[in-house]
Amino acid sequence: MLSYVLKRILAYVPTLLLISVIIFLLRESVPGNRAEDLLIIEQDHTVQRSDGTLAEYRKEAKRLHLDLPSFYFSLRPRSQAAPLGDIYLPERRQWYRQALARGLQLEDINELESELTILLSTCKSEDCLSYQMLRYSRTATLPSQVQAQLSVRSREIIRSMDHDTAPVLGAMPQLSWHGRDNRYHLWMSSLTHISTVRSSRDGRAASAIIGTAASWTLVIALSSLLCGGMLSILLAAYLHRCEDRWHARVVQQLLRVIYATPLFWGATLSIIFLTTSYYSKWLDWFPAAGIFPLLSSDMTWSQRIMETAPALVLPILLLTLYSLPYLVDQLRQSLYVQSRMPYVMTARAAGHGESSILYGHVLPNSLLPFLTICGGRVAGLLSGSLIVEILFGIPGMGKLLYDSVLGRDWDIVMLIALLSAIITMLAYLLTDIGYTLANPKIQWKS
Amino acid sequence: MEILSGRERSPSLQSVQYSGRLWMAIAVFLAVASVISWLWPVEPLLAISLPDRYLAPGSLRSDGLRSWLGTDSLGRDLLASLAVGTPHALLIGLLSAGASAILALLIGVLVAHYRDGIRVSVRSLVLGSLCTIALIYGLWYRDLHPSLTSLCALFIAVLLVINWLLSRSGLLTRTVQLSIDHIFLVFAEVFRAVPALLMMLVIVSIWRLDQSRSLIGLIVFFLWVSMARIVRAEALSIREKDYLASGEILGYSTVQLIWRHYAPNVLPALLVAASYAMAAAIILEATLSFLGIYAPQHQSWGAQLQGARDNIAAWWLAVYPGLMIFLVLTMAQSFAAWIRSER
Repeated sequence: MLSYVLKRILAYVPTLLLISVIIFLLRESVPGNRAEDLLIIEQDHTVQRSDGTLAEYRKEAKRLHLDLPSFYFSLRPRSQAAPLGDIYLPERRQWYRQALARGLQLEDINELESELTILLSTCKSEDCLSYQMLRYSRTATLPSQVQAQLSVRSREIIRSMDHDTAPVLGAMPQLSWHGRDNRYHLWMSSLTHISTVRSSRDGRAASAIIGTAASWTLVIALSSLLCGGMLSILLAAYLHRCEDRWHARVVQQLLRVIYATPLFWGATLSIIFLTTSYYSKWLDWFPAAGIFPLLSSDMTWSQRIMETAPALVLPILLLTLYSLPYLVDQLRQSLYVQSRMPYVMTARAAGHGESSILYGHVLPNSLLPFLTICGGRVAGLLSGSLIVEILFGIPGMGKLLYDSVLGRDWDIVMLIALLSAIITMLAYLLTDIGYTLANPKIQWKS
Repeated sequence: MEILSGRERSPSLQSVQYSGRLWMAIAVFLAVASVISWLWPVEPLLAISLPDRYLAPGSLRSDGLRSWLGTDSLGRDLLASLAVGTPHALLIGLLSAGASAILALLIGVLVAHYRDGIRVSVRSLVLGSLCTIALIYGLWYRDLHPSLTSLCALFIAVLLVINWLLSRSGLLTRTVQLSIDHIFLVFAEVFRAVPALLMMLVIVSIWRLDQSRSLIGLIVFFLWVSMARIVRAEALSIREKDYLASGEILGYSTVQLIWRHYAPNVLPALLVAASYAMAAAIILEATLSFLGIYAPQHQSWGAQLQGARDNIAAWWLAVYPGLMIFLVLTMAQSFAAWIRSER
């Protein structure tokens, strides 16, 4: 049994690694430069930046490992081997890349840069613009009296930038191995001590924020899964027994209506009609949405539950209804399959009553596949609890994700995305283990 | 056994007798709404007019027209908004479902047909992957090094010549069994582990997608895998049928087998899956617009429903756009039930 569980866990490792690479790539594809975003640039782009900003940028870039390659290996043109993470501003990075592609050395470009910076700090205003142009595009031409102030080497560099041909040798691919000093590796290892990851919005440690948020989401999702599971067993058994009666037909139609009601619509409708006395004082059943009770740390567990339970009733109810039609449908199909098995015929022939067959044989046998189906609902429930949390103001993972997305706090967003994948896979793993425990016939096959 | 068990019908086949009429009626209604939104001059009704904010259904607008379903926070007529939203939602739903159905059909059938794997020679595997890498490399860096386009073309041409020479000389003829089924299952596992709505929310906001077509692409990306799993399961049972074996003996090519045997027999299951995919696509788009993540186009029913969050007194903003989504979902559901009963 233990070896089975270990094998099952090992089988999930490659999937998880693949997901982590995908999430890392998403993180890397965020437009703009993270260090620059942090500096909150409001300066005019044509004005010379103070040395302080540049130093600040270098410090941030170093802290965010922008000066390191992004993955264990890379395939780049030979000319583009330098990561250029410590070059400030995207236009200048682009300028550097083009200069490098034209066969210039990094030291030469740096030298030209520093010469231009000195000139810029002393130049007259009408020349400044053309200097700036030169820094950001290679086609700008400098007035001759300005060119005279540059060194011979720099003038050569500017002239070579005007050529439109890049040396072919620089375009040749170079496969290089970077070892462990890369951003993916450092990101993954930062996840092992998660308290070092900080929110860029309020600087709090990710472990603290996500920990509390995840506990709220788990409370909502698991309790709605539990309610949904039990309710669907009751409903499916009921519908199975009296499917042709008129009240069973009504229940069926009701389930269809619930299926066709999108969760966000159902939640909006219930917030509007069921949480206020605006339309009728008889309909004010639930506490107002969007205001979530604050919990202080000196409360006991029972106090916490008493404080938050009323606010959680409607969200959990909505989530339960959200997965109910699917669960009932699946369980009924599996009841149907089981009820046609030969053992049912044997039981009937032996004189067992319909209800003893259903509750004694058919239902227990149908519960096994149903367990897997419940486990498979976890991904859907995470999506559902996202909507419910946002609408009801519950400080769970979905709300945190939504707020972080709006606040462009990508570190937290990626952590939540990874965590939700881990939770989903954990649910699959648990259902697999439960399935095996309940049914020893199933053995691990590769 | 039928008599003993006392049941002939599977539970999903119930009350199909009117579901055929139901989905057709809703489809006609939606089609009429789309046509009306094109023919009827809705622009003046959708213009922002602040005096007409939050008019209750049936009240008179300042320009003398009656607003049958009320107006929103900017004075736009809700009925006109709903009409404009119909082709928008149908387009997103049908295009996403259609594209993912085609993708799922091709990949699901191929994966099932070559379940035991395809024999690939090491030569074509190595040369093929080199070609792909060269192509991606050349496209990626073509702005920095304009010479790369011709260099990569040259490289690929050389690879093709080497391929031809090797195939003639009989070198490197070792073959490996490439199990595409296994690759597909790993892939499907990855997709099963990520909550689609959550990931779409992240991707839409990272790349700041604001075009319908990019959203449709994203929805297809997340929907096709589960459909392909259904097609694969269905095709695996067809694969064992005698007519397929006889088709193979008759010398049908794989394309002919797919077209003549797999596609027609997979179709009912695929249509059922596609109708649920259409519902899922419309819900995803509406949810993203409702949350204000996807560019808040007023066309989306989700964006129209969002107005109800600001003003709970405006019940019509909550009820009617949601009712339209409800109708579309009911249509998808009864269409699926109808297909199940017809096959």
